[in-house]
Amino acid sequence: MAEADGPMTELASLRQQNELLRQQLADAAQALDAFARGEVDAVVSPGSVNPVLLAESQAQLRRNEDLLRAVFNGSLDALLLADDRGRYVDANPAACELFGLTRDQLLGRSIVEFAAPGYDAAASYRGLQEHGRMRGEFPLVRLDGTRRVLEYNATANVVPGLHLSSLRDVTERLAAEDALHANRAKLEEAQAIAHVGSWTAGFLPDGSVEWSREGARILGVPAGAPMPLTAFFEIVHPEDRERFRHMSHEAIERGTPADIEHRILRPDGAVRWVHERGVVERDAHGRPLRFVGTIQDVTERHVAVEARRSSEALLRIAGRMARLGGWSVELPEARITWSDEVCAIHELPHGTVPTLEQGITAYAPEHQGTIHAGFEACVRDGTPFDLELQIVTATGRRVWVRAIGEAERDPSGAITRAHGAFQDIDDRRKLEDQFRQAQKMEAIGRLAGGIAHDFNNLLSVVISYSELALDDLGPGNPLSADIGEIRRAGLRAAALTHQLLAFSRQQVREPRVTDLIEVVASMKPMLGRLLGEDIALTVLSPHPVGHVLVDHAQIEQVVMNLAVNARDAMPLGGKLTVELANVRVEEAYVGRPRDVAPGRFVMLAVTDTGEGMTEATRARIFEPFFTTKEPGKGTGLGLATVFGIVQQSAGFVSVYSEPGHGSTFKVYLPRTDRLAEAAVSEAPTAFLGGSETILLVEDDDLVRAVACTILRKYGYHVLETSNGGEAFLVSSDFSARIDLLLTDVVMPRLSGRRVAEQLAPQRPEMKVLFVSGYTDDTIIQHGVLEAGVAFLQKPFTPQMLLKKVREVLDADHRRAEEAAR
Amino acid sequence: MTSSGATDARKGGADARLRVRLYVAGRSPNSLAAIGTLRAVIAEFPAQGIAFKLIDVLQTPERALEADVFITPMLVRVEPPPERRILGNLSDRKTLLGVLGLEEANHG
Repeated sequence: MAEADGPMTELASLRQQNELLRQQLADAAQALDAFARGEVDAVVSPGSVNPVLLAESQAQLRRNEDLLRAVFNGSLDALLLADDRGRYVDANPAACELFGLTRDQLLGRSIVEFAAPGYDAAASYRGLQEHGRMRGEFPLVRLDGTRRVLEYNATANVVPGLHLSSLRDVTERLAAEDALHANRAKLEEAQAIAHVGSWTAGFLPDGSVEWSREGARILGVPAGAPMPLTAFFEIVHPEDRERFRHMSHEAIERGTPADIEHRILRPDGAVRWVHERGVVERDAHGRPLRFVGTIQDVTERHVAVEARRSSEALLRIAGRMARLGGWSVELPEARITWSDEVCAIHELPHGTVPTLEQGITAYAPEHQGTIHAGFEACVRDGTPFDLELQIVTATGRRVWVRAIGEAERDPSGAITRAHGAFQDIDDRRKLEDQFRQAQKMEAIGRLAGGIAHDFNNLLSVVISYSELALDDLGPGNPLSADIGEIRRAGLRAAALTHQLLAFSRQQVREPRVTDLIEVVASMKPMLGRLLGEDIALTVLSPHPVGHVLVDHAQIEQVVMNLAVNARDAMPLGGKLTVELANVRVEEAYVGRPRDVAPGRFVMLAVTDTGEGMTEATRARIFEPFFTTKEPGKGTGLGLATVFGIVQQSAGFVSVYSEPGHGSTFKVYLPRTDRLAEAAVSEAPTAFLGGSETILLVEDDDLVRAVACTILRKYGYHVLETSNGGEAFLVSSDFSARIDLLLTDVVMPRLSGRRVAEQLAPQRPEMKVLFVSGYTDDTIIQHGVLEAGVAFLQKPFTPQMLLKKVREVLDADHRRAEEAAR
Repeated sequence: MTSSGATDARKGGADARLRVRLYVAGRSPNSLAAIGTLRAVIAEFPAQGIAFKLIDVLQTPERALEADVFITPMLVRVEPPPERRILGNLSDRKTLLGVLGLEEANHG
């Protein structure tokens, strides 16, 4: 500024300077204000490379303060600030409410004024200042005298000289906790008394299960601590674990209430049975939250139940095996209880509860009166009963049962109940029937055999003389026809006695290993003629069958008799099927007699499409002389003969038949592993006569006479004797050679066998031919001829006698000839 | 004057009557507020042809020290003289307009 300027210039200059200063002052004031308001970010200082950023502005500080105030006032906990002397200098609305005072009333008061008598609030306050922090319960007494329990949390010197307390009213919570505690104690006591524990479980994979004290005791694990679910699965018995997992899965996935009995393997090694029930608790969306339930130790009950169950099972098994059940009738209402086995015998479902009337009418009509009377007497005067009767089962089968009953009385002596046993004795009855039948057959057989012996002698005479007479008369004589009739009648009678002997198993057999297919095939033409045109014959033998050991003539007779029987059952024609098959007869095979061992058999079945038989007929068909045919049409011996032959061959016969549906006879013959023997071809005997000397021993005068007549007629020299003694005398008096001893077997005093034995030393060259209408074990062992023994069955015809005599006399010659060749 | 920290406001050109420099500290809250306010005022008074330079002291603290700027945000009126300074986030509009020689009534 130039000093030469005028005062105006100076004034302007001063004004300008003043204005500048004023502006600078304004700028400085503005800068201070801005700084104070925190509108600055960074300070750049020449001493440091980087500017210093200001972290917090004043504005932020102010905002923080506002925030703190809002938190303070909004807190649900009571917040109080007190000074060093414990006087309140600030309090939030929650605090005012807790103390029941306005803020103005509260500020200036001290904590000591609100402490319950006996609580040293001053000491606590000193402790707070000393330790800096403190927490605990504080018994509050409001100015109006009401009491609350507070939980406090205090911090000293949050700002130097100011101490903050946070208070919360826990009066209700403590009361609830007390109540809960009391409940839990009661629950635990109840669980301990009932031996029922409870549990709460989270879910896998890391869920855990919490046991009540009793629950832990049952499991044998320490109480209190939650257990991982995996650890609990370890306690579940390994054999029950899968079932347990399945149950849990069902409960969680399907909401099935869990209810399971399983074993546990306690940590101490004990195995116990527990019963668990549980339900899955779910949230509003159905998601499983946890599993809660109970556990009960049921080991004692389980052991008892198991023991009872196993004894019941034993009883049931025994009952089933013996077909034995129990029944009871409660009086007076006559309520019937049947055990399972009784129902089974009646072929009714288990649990059937019949009325008394149904119980009675289940018996066969002819037995209902008996059981009714027995039962009435039992409930009237206590008479026990034990009856064997037939019932008709639900499927219509007749079954023999044994019904036993007795009365039960109450202490006054009145009959309150009848009870007893009920057993299926059908098998036993059938066996008894079989046995009775066998005995009857045996008796008839002996009788028939005895008669046959005498018959055979007479028939030998009748047949022989009629043949001799026919020979003498020649074909042109008018008497020939009549004598021919006599001869035929004799032969028929001979066939009859033959069958009788077969039935009574006293026929002489010559068993050979035989292929039945061949036998049946060879019989087919003859069977066809026998059956006639109206009956179609089919022979089925789809596979080769095994060999059997039988007498050819006998087995042919069996087939023949069965075919005749079938024919007579089909008077209007039909079909006859003969079938052959290998079968295995098992131990339990129905129809196998006791004395036939199970094993491999060849079955010969003859099936007709005829009238069939009733049960009553079927039971008697094998009896001799039993016939369903008109008098004179049948002998009643056909099937009896079949029975006898098959039995003699160690086989058996079974029959299946229903009226109107035909019959099937099955003949079972035991198989043999031996190869079939070729039939011995009989050498043709061209010349029946001879000149040899024969010593004849026969006690029956008529038979002796006819035999002498025949033999002499054909050139033989016959020494005639009627018993063994006579034979010895004649033999010793006769100096020449005796070629053949022809002797009856069954004679009084000395049997034919003994005669042969005693003569043998003196006459080694003499051959022996036994004749008999009856066999006994002097020459026959078990019905079979001893090797090398010649035998002629009575009754004989002249032809048969001459042929056999020639055969025996020529045997050595043939053997010699064969040897020479 | 082509340092990386400075940005010339071309509007108004070199012959503008009013030239200002705004010193800021990066994107700090007050600096951002100041930038926003200044831009709004420049846009509000387009006829004045206000030229301004933005200087970030975090990038080029030496330029702040050259101009004796120690605290940010700081607005410096370079033209017309005399130099005037406003410290802060320019929240006081009256002060800002006063320092810039602008009058509320002038804009229409």
